[in-house]
Amino acid sequence: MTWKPELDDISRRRKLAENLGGAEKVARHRSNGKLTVRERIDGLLDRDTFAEIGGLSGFPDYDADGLLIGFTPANVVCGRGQIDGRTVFVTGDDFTVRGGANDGGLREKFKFAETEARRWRMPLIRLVDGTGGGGSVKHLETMGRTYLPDVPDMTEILDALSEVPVVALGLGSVAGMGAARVCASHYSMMAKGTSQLFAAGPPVVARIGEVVDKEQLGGSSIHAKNGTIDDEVATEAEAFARARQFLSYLPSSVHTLPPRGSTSDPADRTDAKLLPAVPRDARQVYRMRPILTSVLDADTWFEIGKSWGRSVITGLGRLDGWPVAILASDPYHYGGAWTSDACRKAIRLVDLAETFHLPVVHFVDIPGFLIGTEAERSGVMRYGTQALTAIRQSRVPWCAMMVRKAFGMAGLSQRNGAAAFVRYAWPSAQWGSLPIAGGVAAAYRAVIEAAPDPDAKRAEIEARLEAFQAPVRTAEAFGVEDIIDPRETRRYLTQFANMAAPLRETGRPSFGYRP
Amino acid sequence: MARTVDSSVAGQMLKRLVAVGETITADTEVAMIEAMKMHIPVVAEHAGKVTKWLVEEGAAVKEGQALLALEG
Repeated sequence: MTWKPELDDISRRRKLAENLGGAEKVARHRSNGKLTVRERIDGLLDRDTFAEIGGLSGFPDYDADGLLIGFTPANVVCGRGQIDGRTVFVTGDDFTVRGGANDGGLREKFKFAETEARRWRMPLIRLVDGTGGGGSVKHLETMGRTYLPDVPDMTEILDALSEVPVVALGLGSVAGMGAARVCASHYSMMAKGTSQLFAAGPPVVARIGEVVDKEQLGGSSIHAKNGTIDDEVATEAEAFARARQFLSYLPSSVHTLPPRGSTSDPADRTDAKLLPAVPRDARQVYRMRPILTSVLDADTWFEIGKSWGRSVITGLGRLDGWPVAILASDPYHYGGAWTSDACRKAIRLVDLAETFHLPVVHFVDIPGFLIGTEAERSGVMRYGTQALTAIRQSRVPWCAMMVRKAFGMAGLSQRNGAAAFVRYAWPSAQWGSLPIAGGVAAAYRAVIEAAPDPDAKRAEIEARLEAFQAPVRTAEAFGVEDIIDPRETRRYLTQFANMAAPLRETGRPSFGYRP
Repeated sequence: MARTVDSSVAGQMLKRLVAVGETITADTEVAMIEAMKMHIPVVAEHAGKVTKWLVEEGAAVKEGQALLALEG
Protein backbone atom coordinates (compact mmCIF):
# COMPACT_ATOMS: atom_id res chain seq x y z
CA MET A 1 0.00 0.00 0.00
CA THR A 2 1.46 3.35 -1.03
CA TRP A 3 0.38 6.89 -0.10
CA LYS A 4 -1.51 7.21 -3.37
CA PRO A 5 -4.97 7.50 -1.75
CA GLU A 6 -3.83 10.52 0.25
CA LEU A 7 -2.26 12.12 -2.82
CA ASP A 8 -5.46 11.52 -4.79
CA ASP A 9 -7.43 13.18 -2.03
CA ILE A 10 -5.09 16.19 -2.07
CA SER A 11 -5.37 16.45 -5.86
CA ARG A 12 -9.14 16.42 -5.55
CA ARG A 13 -9.00 19.22 -2.98
CA ARG A 14 -6.80 21.32 -5.25
CA LYS A 15 -9.31 20.80 -8.07
CA LEU A 16 -12.13 21.91 -5.77
CA ALA A 17 -10.13 25.02 -4.81
CA GLU A 18 -9.91 25.97 -8.49
CA ASN A 19 -13.70 26.37 -8.46
CA LEU A 20 -13.21 29.39 -6.21
CA GLY A 21 -16.56 30.51 -4.76
CA GLY A 22 -18.59 28.35 -7.17
CA ALA A 23 -19.69 28.64 -10.80
CA GLU A 24 -22.50 31.07 -10.10
CA LYS A 25 -20.38 33.56 -8.16
CA VAL A 26 -17.52 33.30 -10.65
CA ALA A 27 -19.93 34.01 -13.53
CA ARG A 28 -21.31 37.06 -11.75
CA HIS A 29 -17.75 38.26 -11.00
CA ARG A 30 -16.78 37.93 -14.68
CA SER A 31 -19.95 39.64 -15.86
CA ASN A 32 -18.83 42.69 -13.89
CA GLY A 33 -15.77 42.88 -16.13
CA LYS A 34 -13.37 41.42 -13.59
CA LEU A 35 -10.86 38.59 -13.86
CA THR A 36 -10.76 35.86 -11.20
CA VAL A 37 -7.95 35.90 -8.68
CA ARG A 38 -6.19 32.98 -10.41
CA GLU A 39 -6.50 34.63 -13.82
CA ARG A 40 -5.01 37.77 -12.32
CA ILE A 41 -2.04 35.94 -10.89
CA ASP A 42 -1.44 34.21 -14.24
CA GLY A 43 -1.70 37.57 -16.02
CA LEU A 44 0.82 39.16 -13.70
CA LEU A 45 3.54 36.51 -13.48
CA ASP A 46 5.86 34.96 -16.05
CA ARG A 47 4.11 32.00 -17.67
CA ASP A 48 3.70 28.91 -15.46
CA THR A 49 5.83 30.25 -12.61
CA PHE A 50 3.18 30.52 -9.87
CA ALA A 51 4.07 28.28 -6.93
CA GLU A 52 1.07 28.50 -4.64
CA ILE A 53 1.45 28.35 -0.89
CA GLY A 54 -1.48 27.24 1.26
CA GLY A 55 -3.60 25.97 -1.62
CA LEU A 56 -5.18 23.40 0.68
CA SER A 57 -6.45 25.97 3.15
CA GLY A 58 -10.14 26.70 3.30
CA PHE A 59 -13.42 25.61 4.78
CA PRO A 60 -14.24 21.92 4.27
CA ASP A 61 -17.63 20.29 4.48
CA TYR A 62 -17.54 16.71 5.83
CA ASP A 63 -20.41 14.20 6.05
CA ALA A 64 -21.20 12.14 9.13
CA ASP A 65 -18.58 9.55 8.10
CA GLY A 66 -15.88 12.18 7.83
CA LEU A 67 -15.84 12.16 4.03
CA LEU A 68 -15.19 15.45 2.26
CA ILE A 69 -18.33 16.48 0.38
CA GLY A 70 -17.53 20.10 -0.32
CA PHE A 71 -14.75 22.65 -0.01
CA THR A 72 -14.69 26.44 -0.07
CA PRO A 73 -11.12 27.67 -0.54
CA ALA A 74 -9.58 30.44 1.53
CA ASN A 75 -10.16 33.81 -0.12
CA VAL A 76 -6.50 34.73 0.12
CA VAL A 77 -4.55 33.09 -2.72
CA CYS A 78 -0.80 33.55 -2.38
CA GLY A 79 2.56 32.23 -3.41
CA ARG A 80 5.82 32.89 -5.17
CA GLY A 81 6.33 33.42 -8.86
CA GLN A 82 8.58 35.23 -11.28
CA ILE A 83 8.49 38.55 -13.06
CA ASP A 84 11.10 38.86 -15.80
CA GLY A 85 12.92 35.96 -14.18
CA ARG A 86 13.07 37.53 -10.71
CA THR A 87 11.21 35.97 -7.79
CA VAL A 88 8.32 37.94 -6.31
CA PHE A 89 5.58 37.20 -3.81
CA VAL A 90 1.97 37.73 -4.82
CA THR A 91 -1.18 37.74 -2.72
CA GLY A 92 -4.66 38.12 -4.18
CA ASP A 93 -8.13 38.41 -2.66
CA ASP A 94 -10.82 36.13 -4.03
CA PHE A 95 -13.96 38.24 -4.24
CA THR A 96 -16.08 35.21 -5.09
CA VAL A 97 -15.57 33.87 -1.57
CA ARG A 98 -17.21 36.02 1.09
CA GLY A 99 -16.60 39.15 -0.98
CA GLY A 100 -12.87 38.80 -0.41
CA ALA A 101 -13.29 39.87 3.21
CA ASN A 102 -10.30 38.54 5.10
CA ASP A 103 -11.33 35.35 6.83
CA GLY A 104 -11.22 35.56 10.57
CA GLY A 105 -10.80 31.78 10.61
CA LEU A 106 -7.66 31.90 8.47
CA ARG A 107 -5.96 34.85 10.05
CA GLU A 108 -2.61 33.06 9.95
CA LYS A 109 -2.72 32.89 6.16
CA PHE A 110 -3.36 36.62 5.85
CA LYS A 111 -0.43 37.36 8.17
CA PHE A 112 1.79 34.99 6.21
CA ALA A 113 0.80 36.47 2.84
CA GLU A 114 1.54 40.00 4.00
CA THR A 115 4.87 39.33 5.69
CA GLU A 116 6.54 36.53 3.72
CA ALA A 117 7.93 38.81 1.00
CA ARG A 118 9.77 40.90 3.59
CA ARG A 119 11.33 37.80 5.20
CA TRP A 120 12.71 36.60 1.86
CA ARG A 121 13.60 40.06 0.58
CA MET A 122 11.49 39.91 -2.54
CA PRO A 123 8.90 42.33 -4.00
CA LEU A 124 5.30 42.02 -2.84
CA ILE A 125 2.37 42.48 -5.20
CA ARG A 126 -1.11 42.77 -3.73
CA LEU A 127 -4.18 42.16 -5.87
CA VAL A 128 -6.80 43.79 -3.67
CA ASP A 129 -10.44 42.92 -4.21
CA GLY A 130 -11.83 42.68 -0.73
CA THR A 131 -14.50 44.50 1.13
CA GLY A 132 -12.42 44.99 4.23
CA GLY A 133 -10.98 43.32 7.28
CA GLY A 134 -13.88 40.92 7.59
CA GLY A 135 -15.23 42.85 10.51
CA SER A 136 -18.98 42.89 10.71
CA VAL A 137 -21.22 44.07 13.48
CA LYS A 138 -22.70 40.58 13.36
CA HIS A 139 -19.59 39.56 15.31
CA LEU A 140 -21.06 41.34 18.31
CA GLU A 141 -23.69 38.61 18.55
CA THR A 142 -21.51 35.65 17.62
CA MET A 143 -18.62 36.69 19.91
CA GLY A 144 -20.67 38.26 22.66
CA ARG A 145 -18.08 41.03 22.86
CA THR A 146 -16.12 43.44 20.71
CA TYR A 147 -12.41 44.27 20.37
CA LEU A 148 -10.09 47.19 19.89
CA PRO A 149 -9.19 47.79 16.23
CA ASP A 150 -5.97 46.11 15.16
CA VAL A 151 -4.58 44.25 12.18
CA PRO A 152 -2.40 41.22 12.88
CA ASP A 153 1.27 42.02 12.33
CA MET A 154 0.44 45.57 11.23
CA THR A 155 3.86 46.86 12.31
CA GLU A 156 5.63 44.26 10.15
CA ILE A 157 3.26 44.84 7.22
CA LEU A 158 4.06 48.56 7.19
CA ASP A 159 7.76 48.03 7.84
CA ALA A 160 7.93 46.00 4.63
CA LEU A 161 7.76 49.39 2.87
CA SER A 162 11.28 50.13 4.13
CA GLU A 163 12.53 46.70 3.00
CA VAL A 164 10.98 45.51 -0.28
CA PRO A 165 9.09 47.04 -3.22
CA VAL A 166 5.34 46.85 -2.66
CA VAL A 167 2.93 47.24 -5.58
CA ALA A 168 -0.81 47.30 -4.91
CA LEU A 169 -3.60 46.98 -7.44
CA GLY A 170 -7.15 48.00 -6.58
CA LEU A 171 -9.27 45.61 -8.63
CA GLY A 172 -12.69 45.91 -7.04
CA SER A 173 -14.55 47.95 -4.46
CA VAL A 174 -12.10 48.28 -1.61
CA ALA A 175 -12.99 49.83 1.73
CA GLY A 176 -11.36 50.14 5.11
CA MET A 177 -8.45 47.75 5.38
CA GLY A 178 -8.69 46.89 1.67
CA ALA A 179 -8.30 50.58 0.86
CA ALA A 180 -5.38 50.92 3.26
CA ARG A 181 -3.69 47.88 1.68
CA VAL A 182 -3.86 49.65 -1.70
CA CYS A 183 -2.41 52.87 -0.27
CA ALA A 184 0.33 51.16 1.78
CA SER A 185 2.53 50.65 -1.26
CA HIS A 186 5.25 52.24 -3.37
CA TYR A 187 3.11 52.08 -6.48
CA SER A 188 -0.65 51.72 -6.68
CA MET A 189 -3.18 51.57 -9.46
CA MET A 190 -6.93 51.21 -9.83
CA ALA A 191 -8.76 49.72 -12.80
CA LYS A 192 -11.15 52.27 -14.28
CA GLY A 193 -14.83 51.43 -13.91
CA THR A 194 -14.35 48.18 -11.96
CA SER A 195 -12.50 49.52 -8.92
CA GLN A 196 -13.53 51.98 -6.25
CA LEU A 197 -11.80 52.91 -3.01
CA PHE A 198 -13.10 54.52 0.16
CA ALA A 199 -12.82 54.67 3.91
CA ALA A 200 -16.43 53.46 3.99
CA GLY A 201 -18.84 52.62 1.19
CA PRO A 202 -22.10 54.23 0.00
CA PRO A 203 -24.45 52.63 2.59
CA VAL A 204 -22.38 54.02 5.46
CA VAL A 205 -21.93 57.39 3.74
CA ALA A 206 -25.70 57.62 3.23
CA ARG A 207 -26.00 57.77 7.02
CA ILE A 208 -24.22 61.13 7.02
CA GLY A 209 -26.65 62.39 4.40
CA GLU A 210 -24.64 61.86 1.22
CA VAL A 211 -26.43 59.65 -1.26
CA VAL A 212 -23.90 58.64 -3.92
CA ASP A 213 -23.03 55.50 -5.82
CA LYS A 214 -19.67 53.85 -5.37
CA GLU A 215 -18.18 55.38 -8.54
CA GLN A 216 -19.18 58.91 -7.43
CA LEU A 217 -17.79 58.24 -3.98
CA GLY A 218 -14.45 56.63 -4.78
CA GLY A 219 -13.96 55.96 -8.48
CA SER A 220 -10.47 55.69 -9.90
CA SER A 221 -10.52 59.13 -11.53
CA ILE A 222 -11.18 60.76 -8.14
CA HIS A 223 -8.23 59.05 -6.50
CA ALA A 224 -5.85 59.36 -9.47
CA LYS A 225 -6.42 63.14 -9.30
CA ASN A 226 -5.98 63.51 -5.54
CA GLY A 227 -2.95 61.23 -5.21
CA THR A 228 -4.57 58.54 -3.07
CA ILE A 229 -3.36 56.15 -5.75
CA ASP A 230 -0.62 56.75 -8.29
CA ASP A 231 -2.38 55.88 -11.54
CA GLU A 232 -5.65 54.68 -13.00
CA VAL A 233 -5.52 52.10 -15.78
CA ALA A 234 -8.09 51.13 -18.42
CA THR A 235 -7.88 47.37 -17.88
CA GLU A 236 -6.58 44.85 -15.38
CA ALA A 237 -4.13 43.64 -18.04
CA GLU A 238 -2.66 47.15 -18.22
CA ALA A 239 -2.25 47.13 -14.44
CA PHE A 240 -0.27 43.86 -14.62
CA ALA A 241 1.96 45.20 -17.39
CA ARG A 242 2.63 48.43 -15.50
CA ALA A 243 3.35 46.55 -12.26
CA ARG A 244 5.92 44.45 -14.10
CA GLN A 245 7.54 47.50 -15.67
CA PHE A 246 7.63 49.44 -12.39
CA LEU A 247 9.44 46.56 -10.67
CA SER A 248 11.97 46.30 -13.51
CA TYR A 249 13.63 49.54 -12.33
CA LEU A 250 13.90 48.44 -8.69
CA PRO A 251 16.05 46.01 -6.73
CA SER A 252 14.33 43.01 -5.12
CA SER A 253 14.90 44.65 -1.73
CA VAL A 254 16.72 47.59 -0.17
CA HIS A 255 19.58 45.16 0.50
CA THR A 256 20.56 44.94 -3.17
CA LEU A 257 21.05 47.52 -5.93
CA PRO A 258 18.77 48.23 -8.89
CA PRO A 259 19.87 46.09 -11.85
CA ARG A 260 21.31 47.68 -14.98
CA GLY A 261 19.45 46.89 -18.18
CA SER A 262 20.88 46.40 -21.62
CA THR A 263 20.52 49.23 -24.13
CA SER A 264 21.48 49.79 -27.73
CA ASP A 265 20.86 53.53 -27.44
CA PRO A 266 24.21 55.37 -27.85
CA ALA A 267 25.23 57.18 -24.65
CA ASP A 268 26.34 60.26 -26.58
CA ARG A 269 23.33 60.50 -28.91
CA THR A 270 22.47 64.15 -29.63
CA ASP A 271 19.06 65.63 -30.51
CA ALA A 272 18.76 68.83 -32.57
CA LYS A 273 15.15 69.29 -31.38
CA LEU A 274 16.39 70.23 -27.93
CA LEU A 275 17.98 73.51 -29.05
CA PRO A 276 14.65 75.28 -29.72
CA ALA A 277 12.74 73.27 -27.06
CA VAL A 278 12.50 76.18 -24.61
CA PRO A 279 10.92 79.31 -26.17
CA ARG A 280 12.81 82.62 -25.89
CA ASP A 281 9.58 84.36 -24.84
CA ALA A 282 9.52 83.84 -21.07
CA ARG A 283 5.72 83.88 -21.02
CA GLN A 284 5.46 81.00 -23.46
CA VAL A 285 5.23 77.40 -22.22
CA TYR A 286 6.67 74.26 -23.79
CA ARG A 287 6.25 70.52 -23.41
CA MET A 288 8.63 68.83 -20.99
CA ARG A 289 7.80 65.18 -21.70
CA PRO A 290 9.37 65.12 -25.20
CA ILE A 291 12.57 66.44 -23.59
CA LEU A 292 12.56 63.55 -21.11
CA THR A 293 11.92 60.87 -23.75
CA SER A 294 14.62 62.42 -25.93
CA VAL A 295 17.40 62.19 -23.35
CA LEU A 296 16.50 58.88 -21.64
CA ASP A 297 17.31 55.48 -23.17
CA ALA A 298 14.76 54.78 -25.91
CA ASP A 299 11.41 53.43 -24.63
CA THR A 300 12.38 53.46 -20.95
CA TRP A 301 10.30 56.40 -19.66
CA PHE A 302 7.75 55.23 -17.06
CA GLU A 303 5.61 58.07 -15.76
CA ILE A 304 4.09 57.82 -12.28
CA GLY A 305 1.12 59.88 -11.09
CA LYS A 306 0.21 61.53 -14.38
CA SER A 307 -3.16 62.87 -13.18
CA TRP A 308 -2.30 64.64 -9.92
CA GLY A 309 0.15 67.30 -8.70
CA ARG A 310 0.48 68.02 -12.37
CA SER A 311 2.98 70.89 -12.29
CA VAL A 312 5.51 68.22 -11.36
CA ILE A 313 6.25 65.21 -13.57
CA THR A 314 7.62 62.14 -11.79
CA GLY A 315 8.73 58.76 -13.08
CA LEU A 316 11.45 56.24 -13.71
CA GLY A 317 13.72 55.74 -16.68
CA ARG A 318 17.10 54.47 -17.74
CA LEU A 319 20.35 56.19 -18.70
CA ASP A 320 22.90 53.94 -20.41
CA GLY A 321 20.96 51.08 -18.87
CA TRP A 322 21.07 52.40 -15.28
CA PRO A 323 17.68 52.93 -13.63
CA VAL A 324 17.12 56.51 -12.41
CA ALA A 325 14.29 58.51 -10.86
CA ILE A 326 13.11 61.53 -12.82
CA LEU A 327 11.70 64.73 -11.36
CA ALA A 328 10.68 67.45 -13.81
CA SER A 329 8.40 70.45 -14.19
CA ASP A 330 5.40 70.75 -16.47
CA PRO A 331 5.04 74.42 -17.47
CA TYR A 332 1.51 73.69 -18.71
CA HIS A 333 0.45 73.64 -15.07
CA TYR A 334 1.03 76.95 -13.31
CA GLY A 335 4.19 77.42 -15.33
CA GLY A 336 5.77 74.63 -13.29
CA ALA A 337 5.11 76.32 -9.92
CA TRP A 338 4.94 73.81 -7.10
CA THR A 339 1.44 73.46 -5.67
CA SER A 340 0.73 71.61 -2.40
CA ASP A 341 -0.11 68.50 -4.43
CA ALA A 342 3.01 68.87 -6.57
CA CYS A 343 5.10 69.01 -3.37
CA ARG A 344 3.47 65.82 -2.06
CA LYS A 345 4.09 64.12 -5.37
CA ALA A 346 7.74 65.19 -5.41
CA ILE A 347 8.15 63.80 -1.87
CA ARG A 348 6.71 60.46 -2.98
CA LEU A 349 9.22 60.18 -5.82
CA VAL A 350 12.23 61.31 -3.80
CA ASP A 351 11.38 58.86 -1.01
CA LEU A 352 11.05 56.04 -3.54
CA ALA A 353 14.45 56.94 -4.98
CA GLU A 354 16.04 57.09 -1.53
CA THR A 355 14.51 53.78 -0.45
CA PHE A 356 15.60 51.83 -3.52
CA HIS A 357 18.93 53.55 -4.28
CA LEU A 358 17.93 55.27 -7.50
CA PRO A 359 19.99 58.32 -8.51
CA VAL A 360 17.77 61.32 -9.27
CA VAL A 361 17.78 63.60 -12.30
CA HIS A 362 15.84 66.82 -11.78
CA PHE A 363 14.83 68.86 -14.84
CA VAL A 364 14.30 72.22 -13.18
CA ASP A 365 11.84 74.88 -14.34
CA ILE A 366 10.30 76.23 -11.17
CA PRO A 367 9.08 79.84 -10.97
CA GLY A 368 8.44 79.24 -7.25
CA PHE A 369 5.86 77.76 -4.98
CA LEU A 370 2.39 78.63 -6.24
CA ILE A 371 1.32 82.04 -4.95
CA GLY A 372 -2.13 83.44 -4.21
CA THR A 373 -5.03 82.87 -1.84
CA GLU A 374 -5.88 79.36 -3.07
CA ALA A 375 -2.26 78.29 -2.67
CA GLU A 376 -2.13 79.66 0.88
CA ARG A 377 -5.38 77.94 1.80
CA SER A 378 -3.95 74.66 0.54
CA GLY A 379 -0.97 74.99 2.91
CA VAL A 380 1.64 75.26 0.19
CA MET A 381 4.51 76.33 2.48
CA ARG A 382 3.96 73.37 4.84
CA TYR A 383 4.11 70.85 1.98
CA GLY A 384 6.83 72.82 0.25
CA THR A 385 9.01 72.73 3.34
CA GLN A 386 8.33 69.01 3.69
CA ALA A 387 9.42 68.50 0.07
CA LEU A 388 12.64 70.47 0.58
CA THR A 389 13.31 68.40 3.70
CA ALA A 390 12.71 65.10 1.90
CA ILE A 391 15.08 66.20 -0.85
CA ARG A 392 17.82 67.25 1.58
CA GLN A 393 17.42 63.97 3.51
CA SER A 394 17.97 61.88 0.41
CA ARG A 395 21.52 60.59 0.06
CA VAL A 396 21.41 59.21 -3.47
CA PRO A 397 23.52 60.87 -6.19
CA TRP A 398 21.66 63.75 -7.78
CA CYS A 399 21.89 65.66 -11.05
CA ALA A 400 20.18 69.00 -11.66
CA MET A 401 19.53 70.05 -15.25
CA MET A 402 18.60 73.74 -15.07
CA VAL A 403 16.23 73.99 -18.04
CA ARG A 404 14.61 77.32 -17.32
CA LYS A 405 13.51 78.93 -14.05
CA ALA A 406 14.63 78.39 -10.47
CA PHE A 407 13.30 81.03 -8.12
CA GLY A 408 12.84 81.43 -4.40
CA MET A 409 12.65 78.67 -1.81
CA ALA A 410 11.12 76.26 -4.33
CA GLY A 411 14.29 76.76 -6.38
CA LEU A 412 16.22 75.02 -3.60
CA SER A 413 14.58 71.79 -4.72
CA GLN A 414 17.18 71.61 -7.50
CA ARG A 415 19.64 69.79 -5.26
CA ASN A 416 19.75 67.29 -2.43
CA GLY A 417 22.15 67.16 0.50
CA ALA A 418 24.46 64.46 -0.87
CA ALA A 419 28.06 65.19 -1.72
CA ALA A 420 27.54 63.49 -5.08
CA PHE A 421 25.79 66.30 -6.89
CA VAL A 422 26.29 67.60 -10.43
CA ARG A 423 24.54 70.50 -12.08
CA TYR A 424 24.32 71.81 -15.63
CA ALA A 425 22.40 74.74 -17.06
CA TRP A 426 20.85 75.19 -20.44
CA PRO A 427 21.37 78.69 -21.93
CA SER A 428 17.62 79.25 -21.41
CA ALA A 429 18.09 79.05 -17.63
CA GLN A 430 17.37 81.97 -15.31
CA TRP A 431 17.27 82.07 -11.54
CA GLY A 432 17.31 84.18 -8.45
CA SER A 433 15.64 84.73 -5.12
CA LEU A 434 12.80 86.63 -6.81
CA PRO A 435 11.67 87.00 -10.45
CA ILE A 436 12.48 90.50 -11.74
CA ALA A 437 8.91 91.34 -12.70
CA GLY A 438 7.53 90.95 -9.19
CA GLY A 439 10.67 91.98 -7.37
CA VAL A 440 11.20 95.39 -8.97
CA ALA A 441 7.86 96.79 -7.84
CA ALA A 442 8.71 95.89 -4.25
CA ALA A 443 12.41 96.77 -4.11
CA TYR A 444 12.26 100.05 -6.07
CA ARG A 445 8.85 101.27 -4.92
CA ALA A 446 10.03 104.67 -3.69
CA VAL A 447 11.99 105.38 -6.89
CA ILE A 448 9.12 104.26 -9.10
CA GLU A 449 6.49 106.27 -7.20
CA ALA A 450 8.64 109.42 -7.29
CA ALA A 451 9.16 109.23 -11.07
CA PRO A 452 7.02 111.41 -13.35
CA ASP A 453 6.07 108.30 -15.35
CA PRO A 454 6.14 105.37 -12.88
CA ASP A 455 5.39 102.73 -15.53
CA ALA A 456 8.27 103.90 -17.71
CA LYS A 457 10.57 104.00 -14.69
CA ARG A 458 9.65 100.44 -13.74
CA ALA A 459 10.27 99.23 -17.30
CA GLU A 460 13.62 100.99 -17.36
CA ILE A 461 14.74 99.36 -14.12
CA GLU A 462 13.52 95.95 -15.28
CA ALA A 463 15.48 96.25 -18.53
CA ARG A 464 18.62 97.25 -16.60
CA LEU A 465 18.34 94.24 -14.27
CA GLU A 466 17.49 91.86 -17.11
CA ALA A 467 21.08 92.09 -18.33
CA PHE A 468 22.34 90.59 -15.07
CA GLN A 469 19.93 87.67 -15.38
CA ALA A 470 21.89 85.77 -18.05
CA PRO A 471 23.19 82.49 -16.60
CA VAL A 472 26.67 83.18 -17.96
CA ARG A 473 26.97 85.98 -15.37
CA THR A 474 26.40 83.38 -12.66
CA ALA A 475 28.87 81.01 -14.34
CA GLU A 476 31.56 83.74 -14.27
CA ALA A 477 31.33 83.67 -10.47
CA PHE A 478 31.20 79.83 -10.48
CA GLY A 479 27.64 80.07 -9.16
CA VAL A 480 26.73 77.40 -11.67
CA GLU A 481 29.23 74.77 -12.74
CA ASP A 482 28.62 74.87 -16.48
CA ILE A 483 26.28 75.91 -19.27
CA ILE A 484 25.83 73.21 -21.89
CA ASP A 485 24.44 72.76 -25.38
CA PRO A 486 20.94 71.32 -24.83
CA ARG A 487 21.43 69.01 -27.80
CA GLU A 488 24.18 67.19 -25.88
CA THR A 489 22.13 66.73 -22.69
CA ARG A 490 21.99 62.95 -22.97
CA ARG A 491 25.76 62.66 -22.97
CA TYR A 492 26.01 64.57 -19.66
CA LEU A 493 23.22 62.49 -18.12
CA THR A 494 24.65 59.11 -19.14
CA GLN A 495 28.01 60.25 -17.72
CA PHE A 496 26.21 61.10 -14.48
CA ALA A 497 24.47 57.70 -14.36
CA ASN A 498 27.79 55.90 -14.85
CA MET A 499 29.50 58.03 -12.19
CA ALA A 500 26.60 57.50 -9.78
CA ALA A 501 26.36 53.72 -10.18
CA PRO A 502 29.33 52.77 -7.96
CA LEU A 503 28.25 55.29 -5.30
CA ARG A 504 24.86 53.66 -4.70
CA GLU A 505 24.72 51.97 -1.31
CA THR A 506 22.43 49.22 -0.08
CA GLY A 507 20.50 49.30 3.17
CA ARG A 508 17.37 50.74 4.69
CA PRO A 509 16.41 54.35 3.93
CA SER A 510 17.47 57.13 6.28
CA PHE A 511 13.84 57.25 7.52
CA GLY A 512 10.99 54.73 7.77
CA TYR A 513 9.09 54.88 4.50
CA ARG A 514 5.69 56.56 4.88
CA PRO A 515 3.26 55.76 2.05
CA MET B 1 -22.06 62.75 -24.84
CA ALA B 2 -21.86 66.26 -23.39
CA ARG B 3 -18.54 67.14 -21.79
CA THR B 4 -16.68 70.24 -20.74
CA VAL B 5 -13.10 71.37 -21.10
CA ASP B 6 -11.93 72.53 -17.69
CA SER B 7 -9.15 74.95 -16.86
CA SER B 8 -6.01 73.23 -15.63
CA VAL B 9 -5.00 76.33 -13.68
CA ALA B 10 -6.45 79.28 -11.81
CA GLY B 11 -5.77 82.60 -13.52
CA GLN B 12 -7.16 85.10 -15.98
CA MET B 13 -8.80 84.05 -19.23
CA LEU B 14 -6.71 85.79 -21.92
CA LYS B 15 -8.06 84.41 -25.15
CA ARG B 16 -10.45 81.85 -26.61
CA LEU B 17 -8.58 79.80 -29.21
CA VAL B 18 -11.54 77.87 -30.69
CA ALA B 19 -15.01 78.96 -31.83
CA VAL B 20 -18.49 77.55 -31.24
CA GLY B 21 -19.25 74.98 -33.93
CA GLU B 22 -15.60 74.02 -34.34
CA THR B 23 -14.66 70.35 -34.06
CA ILE B 24 -11.62 69.78 -31.87
CA THR B 25 -9.46 66.77 -31.11
CA ALA B 26 -8.05 65.65 -27.77
CA ASP B 27 -4.88 67.75 -27.32
CA THR B 28 -6.29 70.86 -29.03
CA GLU B 29 -5.34 74.07 -27.19
CA VAL B 30 -8.72 75.71 -26.58
CA ALA B 31 -7.86 78.74 -24.44
CA MET B 32 -4.96 80.77 -23.10
CA ILE B 33 -4.91 81.52 -19.37
CA GLU B 34 -2.50 83.90 -17.69
CA ALA B 35 -1.08 82.45 -14.47
CA MET B 36 2.28 82.88 -12.72
CA LYS B 37 3.01 85.64 -15.30
CA MET B 38 2.91 83.05 -18.06
CA HIS B 39 0.53 82.29 -20.87
CA ILE B 40 -0.72 78.79 -20.21
CA PRO B 41 -2.73 76.91 -22.83
CA VAL B 42 -5.67 74.79 -21.75
CA VAL B 43 -5.59 71.51 -23.62
CA ALA B 44 -8.75 69.49 -24.37
CA GLU B 45 -8.76 65.97 -22.98
CA HIS B 46 -11.52 64.75 -25.31
CA ALA B 47 -12.47 65.28 -28.94
CA GLY B 48 -15.83 66.88 -29.80
CA LYS B 49 -17.71 69.81 -31.24
CA VAL B 50 -17.70 73.07 -29.29
CA THR B 51 -21.31 73.89 -28.39
CA LYS B 52 -20.91 76.80 -26.00
CA TRP B 53 -18.33 79.04 -24.34
CA LEU B 54 -18.88 79.34 -20.61
CA VAL B 55 -16.26 81.99 -19.76
CA GLU B 56 -15.65 85.49 -21.16
CA GLU B 57 -12.21 86.71 -22.16
CA GLY B 58 -10.71 88.72 -19.30
CA ALA B 59 -12.60 86.82 -16.60
CA ALA B 60 -10.92 85.21 -13.62
CA VAL B 61 -11.13 81.41 -13.70
CA LYS B 62 -10.62 78.82 -11.01
CA GLU B 63 -8.70 75.60 -11.32
CA GLY B 64 -11.07 72.95 -12.66
CA GLN B 65 -13.65 75.50 -13.84
CA ALA B 66 -15.50 74.49 -17.02
CA LEU B 67 -14.48 76.80 -19.87
CA LEU B 68 -16.53 75.41 -22.72
CA ALA B 69 -19.08 72.71 -23.49
CA LEU B 70 -18.39 69.93 -25.98
CA GLU B 71 -20.62 67.46 -27.73
CA GLY B 72 -19.68 64.13 -29.28
